[in-house]
Amino acid sequence: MRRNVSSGRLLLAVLGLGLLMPVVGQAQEEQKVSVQVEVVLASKKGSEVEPPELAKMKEQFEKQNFNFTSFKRLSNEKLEVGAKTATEVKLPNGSNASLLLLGMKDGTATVRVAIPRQPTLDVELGRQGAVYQKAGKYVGGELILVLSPPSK
Amino acid sequence: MLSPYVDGELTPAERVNVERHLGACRDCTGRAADLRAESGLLRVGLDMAVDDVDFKDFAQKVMARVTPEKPPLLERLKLALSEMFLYQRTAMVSSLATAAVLVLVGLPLLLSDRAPVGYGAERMTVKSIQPYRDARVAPVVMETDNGGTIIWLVDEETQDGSPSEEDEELEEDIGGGLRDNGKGPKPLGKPKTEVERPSGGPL
Repeated sequence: MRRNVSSGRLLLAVLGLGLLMPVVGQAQEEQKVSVQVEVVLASKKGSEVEPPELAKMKEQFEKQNFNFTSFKRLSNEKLEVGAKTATEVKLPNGSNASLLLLGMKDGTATVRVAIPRQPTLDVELGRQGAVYQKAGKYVGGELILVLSPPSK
Repeated sequence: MLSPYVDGELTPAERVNVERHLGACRDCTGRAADLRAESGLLRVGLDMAVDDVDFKDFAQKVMARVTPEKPPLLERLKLALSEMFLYQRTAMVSSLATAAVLVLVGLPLLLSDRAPVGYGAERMTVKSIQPYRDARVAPVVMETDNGGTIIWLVDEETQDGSPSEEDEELEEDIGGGLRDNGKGPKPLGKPKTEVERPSGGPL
């Protein structure tokens, strides 16, 4: 019977360790947040809106007195942004946008977005809305970096 | 035959036969009466003996003898589970199936409704804007109807201060993408050397 008791305890200990290992591993991992990053080319050449979801973006820009007629999505990716090293987004005009997690407060992350020759933004991530930042010129239009919550 | 008759252990047919015999036989009637008296005495004696015995904690004492040592937790769990599967197999299987369905259906729903890590705020908000080094114009911040924010550098100039060819063309047309009707945002001119960094609040 004594043997049974000790083997049971050993099994429990192993199970406990097995459960704790992922928790410890997660704590050691770098904290990261997911950000949906799109690169859109807005121009006055043509009237193409590709994909059609960008019609909403076009409408919002029109309301702000922009007269772009064409919106084309050049890239769309979900990025994992960490605090140690900046996550780079290659822009078609040759420059890179870099995203860095500045910190997390009360469950809300703040991400720094830096694009060469453009203002550097500190963006507080939220469940709704998007941030549209001009990212430079490209083939007669304007590149726009769109940050939004990751799509499900 | 008389002893079982007195104890009430005979069948109705046997009982009828014995009673018929007792009606005709005095000896047997006397013996039957003696047996009844003995049985009554015995019952009274046993009752008295039982009254003398203390039955307090009887069950615990018996159980202590049956299971002198408590088996380990895992063994007890195993035993309980095996008993449940043995005697309530249908109920257990249906409960497990229901639980599995709930987990398979409910968990993805629960996870899909949860906001991703870091998205504690209601809306995406630009907390601060820092113009790039040697910037000649300050960025314009516009808020859209759907809670979005547009950050736009209205005009960019080349290193020598003159607008680039592309900018000139844009300026002629729309002023860098903006309609030149006086409503849209305008370049804010040269920023101060120490540009104040906007922070917090609605932009």
